[in-house]
Amino acid sequence: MDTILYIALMLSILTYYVGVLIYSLPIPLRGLKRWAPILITDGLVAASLVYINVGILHLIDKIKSMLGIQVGVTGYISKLVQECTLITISVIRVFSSVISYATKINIYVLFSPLISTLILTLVEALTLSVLVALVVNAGTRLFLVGLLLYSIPFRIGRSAGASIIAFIIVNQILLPLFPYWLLYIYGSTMPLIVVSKLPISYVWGYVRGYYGNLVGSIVWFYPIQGYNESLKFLVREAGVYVSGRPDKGIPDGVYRVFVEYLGLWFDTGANVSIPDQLFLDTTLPNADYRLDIFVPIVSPCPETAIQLSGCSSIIAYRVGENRIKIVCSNTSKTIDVYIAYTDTSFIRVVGMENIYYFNVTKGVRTWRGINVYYENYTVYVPEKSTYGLLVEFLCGDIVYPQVQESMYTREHGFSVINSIMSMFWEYLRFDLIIAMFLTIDALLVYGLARFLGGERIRLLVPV
Amino acid sequence: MTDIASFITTLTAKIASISWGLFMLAWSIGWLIKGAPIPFFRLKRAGQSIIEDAIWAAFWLALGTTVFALVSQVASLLSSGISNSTVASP
Repeated sequence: MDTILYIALMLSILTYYVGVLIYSLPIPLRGLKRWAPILITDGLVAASLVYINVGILHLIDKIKSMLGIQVGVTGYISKLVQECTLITISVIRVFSSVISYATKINIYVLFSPLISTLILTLVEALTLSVLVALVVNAGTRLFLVGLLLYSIPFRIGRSAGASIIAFIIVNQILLPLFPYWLLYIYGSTMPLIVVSKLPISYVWGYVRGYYGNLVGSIVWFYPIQGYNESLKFLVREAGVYVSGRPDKGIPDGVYRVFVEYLGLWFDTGANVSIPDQLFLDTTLPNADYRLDIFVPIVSPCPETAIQLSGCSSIIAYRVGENRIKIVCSNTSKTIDVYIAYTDTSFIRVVGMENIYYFNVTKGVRTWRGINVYYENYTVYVPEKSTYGLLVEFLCGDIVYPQVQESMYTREHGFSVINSIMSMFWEYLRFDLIIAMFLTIDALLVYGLARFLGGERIRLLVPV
Repeated sequence: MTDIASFITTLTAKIASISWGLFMLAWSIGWLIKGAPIPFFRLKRAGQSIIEDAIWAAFWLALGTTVFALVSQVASLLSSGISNSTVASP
């Protein structure tokens, strides 16, 4: 038996015997004797609750499965909090820029209801997230603590214990229903995504190859769904691209990601859904989300690239001071090896394993004012085998190509005010719905706690 | 945590034994007051109530272990009933 549960049981037995002791006192005082039957019953009720606790938890699970709850509430609520935070921040930013445009109007008076509504929404979403964290992560434990408080003699912790037990039982069942509640009242399970008129994500990430990061390349987000302009970002030091504040956010939508490197376009083969596939990262102050991009090429140093076609898997590892070995499991008999380098860096193939014939073509071409030297090997290998390529390289100073990066700034003026006003109404509605949910929750907790015998109920969520 | 549990257990045992002693005492005092040759009705009434309470105390003391065993039996029956029953989901 769990220690807390064991102590709760011991306390309930103690309560019982204290009741008996008071019964047997030879002092005919009504005020004192009144406690005897109360304590005996309390002890028995607390002991029953302790013994039946597993049953209660099982019953909660049964009720949940009967209700057919499918949405994972933890992820849902954390997403809600993220959305609320981002939208509040962005609206406050727009609001402050509007102030700079129209300083003559007393704009604080005009917009203070909106800002307070947004803050209220944020507070409500955070309240929900705290509730979920408590109930999901510490529910069972809190339930036991409630039982412990409940079984202390002389009803010292009875109200607190009953409140905690009722809180856990009600919220275990009710909180997972929150998305359904929104669906029922609001018509959408994720209202904020629908509501937000300015959906932008500030993203950063590494652009990686099989070996090393691709400095100096260009990440190209080609739209498939949603926003209809393609976006380009330069990859800087350490292979990082940033689509950050204030004016380079990526509008929400689905994109195909291509990477341009040394004059070649590489398809990363992945459709990226923004913001669904992003994850929060606080490393950079001007970008909230991170999205790493993988390109199927080997790049031992900046401005060099080795591309291999027809490989099912590629492993690249260092074998010397300036040598790497690339091992490839082939899927076809003919493999194309494409090698490219610039004036500043240098690559040379110094050895080949398990390869019995090849053609070579060499050439130079200009790429944004830089000479790019390329070598193309057509390689013949035994079918379904593994072959190796030993490559020597020399890294030089990096020359960053000049490119115009994508900018995405929001419009200012009346359209913003209109969208803000519509957001205001949507948010007000949303606030009311969460407040209704929390009120119903608190009423149910109160009722159950009273049923369990609490007299002065403490509610975690104030009504 | 186990210290607290053992403390509570010893406390309970002490309280139970004290209760037995007090029961004997209360019973005797009750009869002493009730049987005293003093013709005060309210005093005799107090003695009577002390005897009654003492007998109740003895009853609950004697039943204590049995009552808790019964509670545990009923609760485990209920728990297993809830755990084993299959609920058809919609």
